[in-house]
Amino acid sequence: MATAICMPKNGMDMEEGTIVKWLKNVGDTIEKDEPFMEIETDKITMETESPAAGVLLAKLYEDGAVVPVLTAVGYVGEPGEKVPEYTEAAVPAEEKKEAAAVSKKTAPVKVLSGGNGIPATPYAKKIASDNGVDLTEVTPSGRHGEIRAIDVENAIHAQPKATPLARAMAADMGIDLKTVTGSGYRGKITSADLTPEEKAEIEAAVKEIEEVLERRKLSGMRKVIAQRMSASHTEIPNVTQNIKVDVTELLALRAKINQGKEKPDKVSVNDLIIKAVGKAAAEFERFRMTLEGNEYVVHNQINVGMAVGIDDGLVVPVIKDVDKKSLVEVSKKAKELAKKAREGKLMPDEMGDGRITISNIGMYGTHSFTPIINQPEASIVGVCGTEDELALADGEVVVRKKMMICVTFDHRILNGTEVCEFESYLKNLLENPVSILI
Amino acid sequence: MSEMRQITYRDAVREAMVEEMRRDESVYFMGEDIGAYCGAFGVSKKMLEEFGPERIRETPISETAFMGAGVGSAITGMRPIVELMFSDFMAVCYDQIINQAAKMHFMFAGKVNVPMVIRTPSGGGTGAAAQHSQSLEQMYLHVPGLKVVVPSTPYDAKGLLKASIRDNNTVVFLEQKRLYKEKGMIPDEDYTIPLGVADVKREGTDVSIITYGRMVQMSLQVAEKLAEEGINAEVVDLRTLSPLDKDAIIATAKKTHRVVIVHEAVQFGGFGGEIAATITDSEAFYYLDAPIKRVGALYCPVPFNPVLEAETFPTPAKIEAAVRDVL
Repeated sequence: MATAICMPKNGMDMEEGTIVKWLKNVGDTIEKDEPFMEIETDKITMETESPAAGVLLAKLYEDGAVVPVLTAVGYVGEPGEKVPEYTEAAVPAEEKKEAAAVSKKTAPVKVLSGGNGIPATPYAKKIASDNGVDLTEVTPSGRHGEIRAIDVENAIHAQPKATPLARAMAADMGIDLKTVTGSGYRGKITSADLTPEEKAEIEAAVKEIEEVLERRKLSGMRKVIAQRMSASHTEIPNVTQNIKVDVTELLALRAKINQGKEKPDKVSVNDLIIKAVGKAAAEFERFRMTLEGNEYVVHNQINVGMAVGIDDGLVVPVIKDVDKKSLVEVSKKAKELAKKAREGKLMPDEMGDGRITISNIGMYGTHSFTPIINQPEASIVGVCGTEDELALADGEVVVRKKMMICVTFDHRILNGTEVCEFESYLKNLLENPVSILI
Repeated sequence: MSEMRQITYRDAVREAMVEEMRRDESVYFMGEDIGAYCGAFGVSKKMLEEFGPERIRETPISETAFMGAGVGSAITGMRPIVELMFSDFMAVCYDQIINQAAKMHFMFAGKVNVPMVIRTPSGGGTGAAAQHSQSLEQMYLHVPGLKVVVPSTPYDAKGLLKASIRDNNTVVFLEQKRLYKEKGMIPDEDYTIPLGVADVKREGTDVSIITYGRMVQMSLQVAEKLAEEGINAEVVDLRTLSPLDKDAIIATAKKTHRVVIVHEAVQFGGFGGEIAATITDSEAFYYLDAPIKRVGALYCPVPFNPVLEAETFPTPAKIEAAVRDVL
């Protein structure tokens, strides 16, 4: 049979103890006389030892619970053994007797409200108790200064309308009912009115159910993204400058390059842009700079990051040494990294050491936007959708493909004119795309 | 609806005896001067003529002897009505009452009954001095085995006496000598009033006057006077002190929340204490909105001087003051 393990009675005047900490979990093996919980009385903190060996079958109270002495807090027994439902069942008879003697002495007797030394008739006390009236608040009219029933009745009528429960609670909580706004019928104060926090909680819970479809914890990645975005946006004095680029030739070149190629080998517009941005970054060293304290650090490698949106996140794999890679190599690497990103298989070194990032949302037809810099980089190049635009060529109206390039830069590192020059350079490359390949 | 007629308390007592003696041959009447003299208060008028000396038995002046004879005849099948000329004389025959009449049924394992009625005029107010004016009900009430009845009206006197004569226990029937000439309505037909049932003589809401015997009429007078002021007193007549109608006592206390107990007997050690305890021992305690007040006789022998005598007993003024005290 499972043995009850109890809150011990250490000393005659100990009536209850607090479980500071369980030292064992359910299922743990306990030796006889082995400490299984740490308790605290109003005098000391001590460990309590198990009266029997076995495994801990059940905990009836959690850490922090205040438990009367000789009350079972858990059971020790053979693994799988049933635990009695009635928690007092296994308390040794002798101890129980002792506990009974204690409880007889100290058990709270139901005292009629305000009975402590306030002269009041039995009937006055009764109706005060029934109605939750605090006798200390009642003005006595008795000949000998005693409170009579009529005084309590007057007090009840003088008070705002309230349910008996609300009155009793108000008396307990020391709340003056006059200060409470009733929400019941004709302004009657109900128990809910006395616990505005609880009421607000209930209302909030109802609202939540009505309005919130789901609550999701931030994933680790989302937390990092949120933190980095907000750091970037608040720490960097950022400016976005937009330039319109004619990509008609670029698209034509791409078509030529891809002619006869299978899909996996096809080069994308993005690949050409990566290559072009790499070329521009090589030309303008300030676009490879980082700010470290009082120093600008000019980096050597032309490493271009590309923002990849994935399920529940965003990653920026980096293509290293873009200037040293052919377009085909860049294209291959970009595809490989994007795939890895989507599969969540990117290694840390594939995301580090970027000097400039490209954020391409052109496939959605976006006209322009303000990308956020991927710290500690100096800038980010936003690539937008291509749009048909009419233009005059040799007096003829022709259709040209146009695209916005939106560069957000750290004004601590770059100036507007520098970015203008960079953008012009990039525009020139994209509009004369063969130069990207040279 | 039966015919009602007005008779005196004394006539009501006699009618009860006469009717029961006509109904049951084992009933007989015994006492001092009850024959030709018709008893000290003229209760047994013409009974000797109707029933003869065999059933209307006059006794020598020896209470012990005729009380003992009553007990003896009761245990051998008769149903004696024994008259003590004054209840004060119980002291002379106390042994026969408390050690014999009250005990026999129990000491002989229920094989013996003592179906005797001790009729005796009780109380004061007649200028009869200390030895003829006492209300000694408490002396009987403390002895298990006796029933004690104190009627306050002709109607109650007749109904309760007939019930007492028919009862198989010894009943001490304390007539109120000051009420003998009081008149009241009674029905023509045969009726009894069960022992142990109180009677609310006046319904009220503000205060309960719990009383019995002669004090019932006085309490009703006070209640009527207070009613003029809008104070609505309830007057409960216990009628039987043993067995006691505790339910009625508790009910009235719970109803009005205020209790005044009135009896003619000496207040100290009197039955009022038992009534008060009946209330405070019960759930009615929680309904009390004032201390329970008792109004009884002063703790002194009843004086011969009529002015002093009146002052020793409860008076309407004293009852009224007690009521006002708890309101």
